[in-house]
This record gives sequence, C-alpha cells and structure tokens, in this order.
Amino acid sequence: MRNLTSPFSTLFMLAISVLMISPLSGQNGDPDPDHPAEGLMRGERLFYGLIDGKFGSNACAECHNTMEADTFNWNPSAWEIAHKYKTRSIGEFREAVLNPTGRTMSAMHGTFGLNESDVTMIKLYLDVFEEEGMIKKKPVINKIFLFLLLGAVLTWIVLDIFFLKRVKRRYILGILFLAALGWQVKLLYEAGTALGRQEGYEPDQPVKFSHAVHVAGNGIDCRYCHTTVEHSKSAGIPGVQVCWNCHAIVREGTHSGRHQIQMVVEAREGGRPIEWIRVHNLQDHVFFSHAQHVKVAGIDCASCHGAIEKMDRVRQVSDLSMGWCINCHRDTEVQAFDQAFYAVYEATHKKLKNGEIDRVTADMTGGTECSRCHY
Amino acid sequence: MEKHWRSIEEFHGGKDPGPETEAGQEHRNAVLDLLDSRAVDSPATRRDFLKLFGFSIATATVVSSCEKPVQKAIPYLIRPEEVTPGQASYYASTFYDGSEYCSVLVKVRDGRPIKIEGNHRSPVSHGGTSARVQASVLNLYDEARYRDPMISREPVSWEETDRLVREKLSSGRRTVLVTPTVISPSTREAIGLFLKAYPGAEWIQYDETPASGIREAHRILFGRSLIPGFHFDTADYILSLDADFLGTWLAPVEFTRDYASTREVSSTRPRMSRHVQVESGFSVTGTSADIRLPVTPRESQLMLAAIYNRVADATGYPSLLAPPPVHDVEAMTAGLLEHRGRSLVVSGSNDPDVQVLVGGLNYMLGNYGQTLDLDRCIMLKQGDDAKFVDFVASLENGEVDNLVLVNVNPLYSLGGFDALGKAGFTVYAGTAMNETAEACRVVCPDHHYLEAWGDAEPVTASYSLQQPCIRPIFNTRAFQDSLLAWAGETQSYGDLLRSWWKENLAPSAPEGFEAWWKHTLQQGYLEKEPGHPVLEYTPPRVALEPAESGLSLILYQPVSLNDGRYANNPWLQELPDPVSKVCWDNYLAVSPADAEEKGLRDEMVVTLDGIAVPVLVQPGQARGTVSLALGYGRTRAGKVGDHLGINGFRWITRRNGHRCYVNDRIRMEATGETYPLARTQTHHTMEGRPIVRETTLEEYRKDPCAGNHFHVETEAHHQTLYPGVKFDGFHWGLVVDLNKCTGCNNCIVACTAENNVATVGKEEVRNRRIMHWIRIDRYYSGEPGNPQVLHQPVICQHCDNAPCENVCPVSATMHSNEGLNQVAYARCIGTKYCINNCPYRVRRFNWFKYVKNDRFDFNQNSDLSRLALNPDVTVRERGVIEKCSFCVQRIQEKKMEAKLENRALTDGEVQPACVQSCPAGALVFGNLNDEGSEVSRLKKQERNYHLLEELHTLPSVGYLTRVRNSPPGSPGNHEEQNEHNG
Repeated sequence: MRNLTSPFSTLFMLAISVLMISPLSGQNGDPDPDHPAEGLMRGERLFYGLIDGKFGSNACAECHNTMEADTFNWNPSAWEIAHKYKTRSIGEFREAVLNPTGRTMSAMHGTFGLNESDVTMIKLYLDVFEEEGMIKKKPVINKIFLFLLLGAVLTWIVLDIFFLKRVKRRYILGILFLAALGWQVKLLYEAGTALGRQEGYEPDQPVKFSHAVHVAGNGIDCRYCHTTVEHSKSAGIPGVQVCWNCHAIVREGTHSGRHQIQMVVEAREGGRPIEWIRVHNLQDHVFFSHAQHVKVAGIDCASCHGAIEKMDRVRQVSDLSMGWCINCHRDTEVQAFDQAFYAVYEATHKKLKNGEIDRVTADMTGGTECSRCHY
Repeated sequence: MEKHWRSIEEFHGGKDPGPETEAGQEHRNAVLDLLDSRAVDSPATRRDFLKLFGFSIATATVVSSCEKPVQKAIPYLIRPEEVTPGQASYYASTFYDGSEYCSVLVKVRDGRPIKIEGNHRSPVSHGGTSARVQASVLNLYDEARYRDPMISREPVSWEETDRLVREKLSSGRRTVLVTPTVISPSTREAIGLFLKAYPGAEWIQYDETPASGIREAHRILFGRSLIPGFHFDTADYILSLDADFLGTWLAPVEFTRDYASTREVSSTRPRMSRHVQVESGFSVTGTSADIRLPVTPRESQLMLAAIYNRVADATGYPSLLAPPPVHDVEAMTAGLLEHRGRSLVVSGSNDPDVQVLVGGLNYMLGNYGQTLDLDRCIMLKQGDDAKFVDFVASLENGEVDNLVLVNVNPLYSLGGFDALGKAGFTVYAGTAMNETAEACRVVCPDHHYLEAWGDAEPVTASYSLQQPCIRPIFNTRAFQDSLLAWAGETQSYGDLLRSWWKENLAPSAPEGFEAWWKHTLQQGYLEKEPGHPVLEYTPPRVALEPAESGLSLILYQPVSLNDGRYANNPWLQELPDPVSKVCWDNYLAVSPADAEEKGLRDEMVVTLDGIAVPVLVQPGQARGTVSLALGYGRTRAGKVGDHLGINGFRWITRRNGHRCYVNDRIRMEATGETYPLARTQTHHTMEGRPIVRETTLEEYRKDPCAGNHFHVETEAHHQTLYPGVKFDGFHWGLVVDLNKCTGCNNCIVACTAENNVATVGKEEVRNRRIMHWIRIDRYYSGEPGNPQVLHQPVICQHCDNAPCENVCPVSATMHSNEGLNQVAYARCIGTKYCINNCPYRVRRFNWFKYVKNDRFDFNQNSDLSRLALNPDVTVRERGVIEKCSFCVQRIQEKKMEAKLENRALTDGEVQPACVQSCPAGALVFGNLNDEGSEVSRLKKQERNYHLLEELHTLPSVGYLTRVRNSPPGSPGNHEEQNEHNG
C-alpha cells in the first residue's frame, strides 16, 4: 500500500522545522534516589565500575552500552541483557555472568572478582533498568541555537536601525543583516531538504549482523542472501532459513560470541522472523527496481550502498534524494544498449552510429521521465 | 450529422437540468455562503486569532519534536519458493458464483490476491471477464464475511458445530440440501456422499434467477432437459427477444466474445452480423442492436408466434394457432429464412411456452448443429423451479426437519420464503452475511472462491480447475468439506477433487498423473471430446395466447449487481447502469410517452403496489411497460449494500410453475414526492460536437470513410509552426473499436481494481466527483421513443499536444518520451487548471481523502479491505489530480520482463487493465512506432478518428466508427436524415 505525503503536509513540516524547537525531553536513567533498596544502589555502582577491585580492566558498562551509541558495539546492550534475564531466575543470571560458556565471554568475564551477592545486586539494578529503558541521547540543539541567535542578531539590527542608532556606519548593519538573514535561509533550506531523508542513518539492528564479517571476512556474495536482487524490484531481505544454511553449525562468532547467533537460533526455533530496522527507505510514491539497476544496467551494489563490506552496522551513505537519482541517470552510460530490448530506440542507435553522440546515458531512453518511478 | 442527445430535455432543445445540476447548485451555494457577508460579521475576533496562532505554534512544537518513525523490514521466516517480494504471481483458477462462470488468472502479490484477469487460453471465456468477475476480488476482503462458525449467532468451534449438525441430521426425518446450481463434478461427488450418509435426504438446486424455461422447452422438444450451447460467432442473423445476452443472460462473457467477432468490420472484411433486439426495457444488448424494437412482453410473444408460423409455413412444419401480431414481422421472417443455419433466435423469457417456440423456430431454421450446439451444452442454471415449489410447500407444512442451505439467499430472492422458520433445524453454509444466513440457526462460513479448491464443467466436457490463491483469512471451511465432515468422511474435499480428476479425466498412465495434474492446474482448463447424443425432435403443440394487460413490470438483472449477490460490493454499487447511467439505486424506468401521459419526470416518486420507487424516464422503454432492476433492497448485505433501492423479487410471478420476470398486475400511483438519483451521465458533457461517428454497413461498403469524412478534413488542416513530436522507441497508443464495444462496463471495474481508484458514494457522484479513470459515454440518437445508443469509452487521450500539460504551474503533469501524459502526484498542488483545460474531462480531483476516512466507509476504510489495493500504484492523497496512466505500472513491468529475458518487447504483451479483460476485444493497445503492431494497423483504417481532433490535441487514443447493419428505412439507418442534415 502506498501513501503519499501531500504537498501541504510537506510545507507544514518545513515550516515547523524552521520554527522550532527540538526534542528536549529525555531522562537521565538514574534510578530513583529515594528507592529504599540499598542493594540497588550498589548494583548500579558495580555495573558502572564505581566500586574498585571488582573488575580486571573493564566494568560492565564499558562493554554493555547503557546509552544509544553512535559507534557499533558487538556486545549486547545493558537493556538487552536486562530484558533477557528479566523473567529468568537469579541462578541463571549468575551462571551466565560467572561461568560463561562462549570463548569471548569467558576471556573477559574471567577477570572479574564478583561474588554471588554482587551479581544479585547487579541483577536488581538491571531489572529496574529494563523498565526505564536505554538512556536517551541528549538532543543536538546547536543548529536551533544558532538559528535563534541569528534571529536575535537580526532583531538587534532592526532595533538599532530604527531606535537605538548606536552604530554610526550603517552599511555594517546592512551587511550584518544580509549575512544573518542569508545564514538563516541556508539553515532553513538545509533543514527543509533533509526532511524525509536520512543520509547517514545507522540504526541498531535487533541482531548485530555484520556485513563486514560476512562479506569481507567470509567472502559471501551479496546475492547469496539478497536472492531476488536480479529479478525483482526488491532485493529481498533474507529469511532466517538463509542464515540457517551456515548457522545450523556456526554457533559462536569471533566478535560477538554466542549471544547474537543465539538470537537467530531462537528466531528459527520460535518461528518468529527477525524484525529488522529498515535503513534504506524510499518514499512510498517512488517505485525503484533493483533488477533494472543490478541485472540490466549492471550497476555495482556499492554505487548506491557504499562500502557495505566494511560496515558492521549498515549506514545509508547516499541521500536517496530525487536529485541524486536524476544526476546519476544523466551521467551514467547505458551499458546494455546493444541488448535486444534496446533495439527499439532506433533514432538513438542511429545517432550513436553517426557519431552525433558518443555514448548513451539513461536519460536518453527516458530515465528522467516522471512516470519511470512515480505512478 | 445525426443529432446526438444525452437526455430527453436536451432532445427537446432545453438545457438539461439534471439532478446533478441542482446538486451542484446546492454545493456552489454552500461555498458561496462561506464567502458572503455572514463571514465578515462572524464572531471571530483578534483574540480568537491569537488563540489559534498559539495553538498552531504549540502543535508545531509537538509535531516537530516527534522523531521520524522507525520502519521495519520483516522478511519471511522461511520464504516460500514461489513468492518473490515485489513481484506478482498469477494462478489460473475458476470463477463461479452460482450463476456466472469465467476462467480467470488471479494476480497474487506478496501472498494476497489483488486482481482478477481473464485467462486467454480458456476455450470458454477466451480471456474476457465481466464487471462482476473483476469486482469479486473485493468480496474476499469483505467485512460482511463470516469469520467463525456460529450456533445461534455465538461463535463456536468447528468440532462443536459438526457435533450439533450431525446429531440433528441423523435424528431428523427429512433433510433437504439446497444449493445453487452445482457445475463442479467433484462437488456433486461430495454431495452424493452426503446424501448417502443421510438416507432420505434430498438435494435441490435453486437459482436466484432461473433459466428452467429453456431446459423444460428442450425436454419437450428433444426429450432432454438442457440448455444448448450458443454460437453467436457463426450467426449472421441474430434475433433476440428480451435476452440480455451481452449483459447478464447465461454466459455473457462467452457470448460477448463470440458476438463481437461478428462485428469486426474492415475494408478487407466488409461484413457483419445483423442483430435484431426485441425488448421492453433498454438492455445493454439492445444498445448494440442494428434494429431494436421496443415492445411489450405480450407484443413480443405475438411476434414470436407470428414469425414461428411464417417460418413453419415456409419450411413445411405445422403452424400454431396464434392471434395476429401488432408489429410487422415480414422483414424479420425474411431475414431468418435467408440465413437458415446461420441465424440464431434467443429469448430471455423463463416461460417454457415461449422457449418451446424459440426452440422450434431454431430447429425449423436448421440452426441446431450450426449456431446451437446440443453436444456442448451450457451446464449453468440447472435449478428446477417446479421441484422447488413443491419443496417450499412442504416447508410450509412443517414437513422439513433439517434444512441445509449453501450459498443461496431465498429469503431475499423468493417472496414468501418466510416458511424457513418452520424447518426444525437450519444450517447455512456460505461466504458472507445475507438475509437467509441471518435467519439460520447454524452458520458454517465457507471459503471465498479465491481461498478454495474446486472445479467446474460450465460447458459439457469442458472442465476447469479452481485453486486456492491465499490461505483462508478467517476460520472458514469449504462447504464441501463441511458436507464431507457431516457425512462422516475422513478425506478432505481437496483430496476428493484430485482423486475424481485422476479417475475420470486423467489419461490412463497413472505414473504420469502428477505431471499431468500440475500442467492442467497451471493452464486452468481441460477440454474433452463431448458425447454425441442423437436427439429426436418433436414439434411443439402449444398455442400462445398472451393475455391483454395494462402496465407490465419488467424485472431485470442489472449488469452491476446481477441478482443482488454483489450488493455489498462498493465497486459494483458505484458502477453506472450502461444505459441509464444511474448508480447506487434502482429506479422505475418509464417510457417517455407514458411519462408524458402520466405527468412523470425524473426522480419523481411513484408507488408500485404501495411501495415507493423513484422514476427515471428511459428513452427506448416500450410504451406500456416499466422496468425495475433486481438485486437492490438488501437488508442484510453489509455496511455498503444495506437499504439501497427496493427489492424487486417481490413481484416475481409464476407461469406454468416457472418463475417469470414480468408482472402484469401492478398498480402504479404518483405520490408527488421526489427522490434524488445519482447519475454519472451529465458529468461529462461534450457539447454536441461530432464525437461519436457512425455509418451503416451499406455506406461503409461504398466508401470506407463513410461517417468519418471530418477526420480526413481535419487531418488536412493540421498545420503547425512547431516541429512534430517524435518519440524514439515507444509511442503508446490505444484504439477503441466502437463497433465491438458493447458497453458492458467490465473495463471500469478492471481499471478501478488495478489503479486503486476510490469509491466516492452516492452524494459525491451527484456532486460529479466520481473518480473512475475510464467512463463509458452513452449517446442517444433518433427519436426518444426508440433511440439508437452509442457507447464510447473515454479515458485520458494522452494527447501529444496536450492542453493540460502547458497550464500546470508546477509541471506536475507533462509528456513522457513514450507519449504518455504523466502525472506526478507528489508534485501536484491541486490548482485544477489541468481539469479546466482538458477538453475530454478525464482528469479527476481528489476532493477528499478517500482512504481511512469514515465519511467514505467503503472499501478503503478498513485494514481488511485495503488488502485489495495494488501496491504498485500510489494511493492518492487529498488535493491532487489523478487520471488514466495507460497503466504505466504494467508497461514498466512488461518492459522489465523483456529486459531480463534479453529480448524485444512483443506486440500485445503490454496490456492495460481495461484492454486485458475486455470480453469483446474492443480495445487494442500497443506501440504506434511499430508499423507492424495491431494498434498501428487499426489506426491506419479509414474508420479511425480522434476525439475532438479539430482541436489539434493529437490524441494517442483512436476510435473506429460505429457501423450499423441496419436496412434502409429502419430506425438505425439515418441515410435520409444524414442527407437532410448534411
């Protein structure tokens, strides 16, 4: 089902992004200070490594994120652990922390000097943490601050021109006015065009699947998993049965230990598909075909998706804007122009033969027509 | 040029007031009210403004602090081999709803059926579909479907249901099973097992609209109850008496195809069949006729008897006693006698006395074995009326203990079936809610046909398979499985079906069955050699003496709802009647002469035996008759279909024990009230310009340009300073053969399904805001008493010099390099300049958001019914323009296929939805740049012209002139008038 954002709502959002004001809500993640349980406080301190002598090199929080991070972390986040053990017994948790089974985990956890009551207190803290969720990142307000500052400057200039009249050289005011206004317009433009785009989007996935490990490390071809990329619009996100081809045997990863692969096992056994977060998200009124680009035009995956083979966590490298599409269609030579289908473009073939043009680009066969992608 | 008119008022030279104009006026007034002085005096003050301002700032703050929603991508756990995300699969299957058959391809996208296409390989339906078939996909996602088995309206488990049903069935004395006509051989097998398990149980087939008269007539004539196969393709002279064979009679899809093949006229083949239609109401079949005679049912019978006697005299058979006819039948008799063995007489009457004469007439003309087939009979409509009457009588006497009803609705369609309550125990098995089901104690929800296995034998020895295309959405079970479960059988119906085919139809080598079965399932049909029974003819001995009558009420099946089973389908409710262009209601069609005499005008309400019904003055309606569509007045159809119009089944009469669609004993009284009707007719005015062109076959033979000289003239005047547009590669075009188009409306529903076209409801239709991308304009010509009708399907003409394109301020609509007039919805800001500048009125504006809007509580307002949306087409937002795109998504899909297979696109491969399933093959689409393509060939015909071509819009859509095979002097031959006007 395809829905369309009306021009009005787009304008509205534009206006809003200009005017306002950022997400300022957020929580600090600290447990309730009035909580009576002494153990809870100690559990938290242990988790953050604030009690000396218990850890060799790293405290829990140093490997297990408590905050949404910009960088990729192989280890399960504090919330993931908390969530997993929420309903399980303290015995299981203790076993997992003190006597881990996997290689990676034993190497790290082996250095801990935790006793059983320490682990119980950590679990106490984690139960609370599970309810409160990951600590939210502080919103970035630089741009809005800058925008407001420029607004203040503009106000001051106007006031000065009409009332205060402190600045003698009026042309300075003029230049300042234009510069501030121009800067504001630039900010507005940037914010406006960024609406609905998400270049650099790099969300945490439910399973820390690493393209770097699978593609660069193990040399698996893209098409091994994205099977429909050559004959359908959609490249296809592999189902768990594709993972299972290898992970029926491979149960422990070099970087992630057992935890991540265990999720794949659980998905298969529980019959629940993994709910990935969509990274490349075209608007609903754009109809894009992978088959056309990959199979027919022979475009390399990396042209749009970047160096996926180096990414542990997939990041959107192109802005996927219409301008970006169109520019490519104008510049890219149609490699397949000698194929049977393209024989229909007789006039273009003639021009090519006569030397009127030296190459055929996608726009010459209608690659920039509206109805190629919008219908 | 013949004067064309669209309504009676226009014929009389007045401006057509039309209900829509009034509605439009009301609307304009409402808009003006907002702008008048009241608005200035409104109490809104500066403080209100500040409040609003503050509120919007606050809203803006809240909204802007929202994060972009996270979208998930959830793959299959284990992807089924045949499902490719983003790509459609097609499954051959069978449509059979108890009355109509069609071999179909079901388009399944990501596991859900979204579109029905015709199966081009089928030897029966030949790739055509009807509007009902197209719309049937929406019934799969109907909210009125039963979701669980129920006992006394309480949802229960299947086990509990079965326990109760088996207990009751084994204890009762008399069990009766009522089904619609079963054309599935394996279902017959299942029913046989059920009947065997309950000795004494009876099985009765019940048709909502029966054809038992024809069967009875053939029993009398040939000693066997059957409906012969009709071959309209080999008939050169067709006489139809009240048979709407292109609309709803028996097998309209098959007939349309055969009929249209005789209407293909070109300079190399300058001949066509002659079609005479004698009828009372104006049917869609009547609009295609070369000669149409509006007569009362009595006059029609007299004519039949007179023709019979004349033919009998000429062929040496005994004639019958009959009163003299009111009309001249000499020409018809001569026509029939001239085309012996190449003529065909059909009648829509269900009176065996009439059908016996029709059969006798065909026999005397030597049509059996030529245009009528006794080897390949039509297996539809096997219901036996006389038997059903006995059953109802015994039901009334309380003699039936257990009643099992399967997908029938007699409580609605049979006056006086209230005796249902007297049965001891009632079970209903069916897909969706209806009046009868609601009155039954146990409800066993049946699969929709797209969810179930099945087979069919629509024509003797021609089989077709039905396969499930989606896992059952609800807790339903095939009714055959229910019967088998109650019979104590352990095998499922699917297994029974397979084993039946294996035993009865598969070639003898058993090891090859699996491969054979898969192949048959894939192509969807199987042809076998029929038997060749030798039937002895007995000349009829009936004497027709039709009684004198005052006013006759004709009850007919509308093209949209058929007999009411589709009442809850919004696509069909919004489908305008092909002739009157009324939707969302039924009405009483009155002839212009009667209307004048009784002082009736459109939308006036009269009472018919005390029941109020709005009047519509229908040109061409026979004087002394009124027509009413069946299928309306449902009370338990669902949210869309309840309480629309009135139920006409109450006026069904009986003749010789057979239900009859004519009622001579009605009382009609004017009430002085009015009731608004929604008509799509005057939406799209073309101001009387020469837009539909016609000629006669005679003229055409003399001059292939006949009726189309204006085209030659305008072509000569097409001069421009600008260089002509050249399209490299593709230049898509479409040609409509107006001679083949019957106006059946299939294309409208096909387009609606393909392109997610919104249903807007009666009020918005009255406001002229219907969204259909394709409309069929209907023009009358001649006298209002018996006019000729011309149909003209109009879609976006994709003009190469499009007036809409250069007025768009934001370039949202522009021309593509393939000659398409494209609209980028996301760019459109809704100025509507393009609508105003389009001379064809084909652009549609989204006045509202039609999706997820309770005001338009049709098929796009629930998660369930939105599953029928095509994911390849954007659902338009409020405030944007939309229109026909030549199904650009289908063009792109086929181009992609060709590229992947590294081959050139072949002619006829790309077919927009309207073209794909046109039963008449009246629409041809293709590449105009390709000299050898079918569309180029047709465009070069002398009959080809463009709509409003004098405007130099250079449309890509062409029309071929209508050619009538009317003899000189008949109402369809305007030779004299042409000369006079010209």
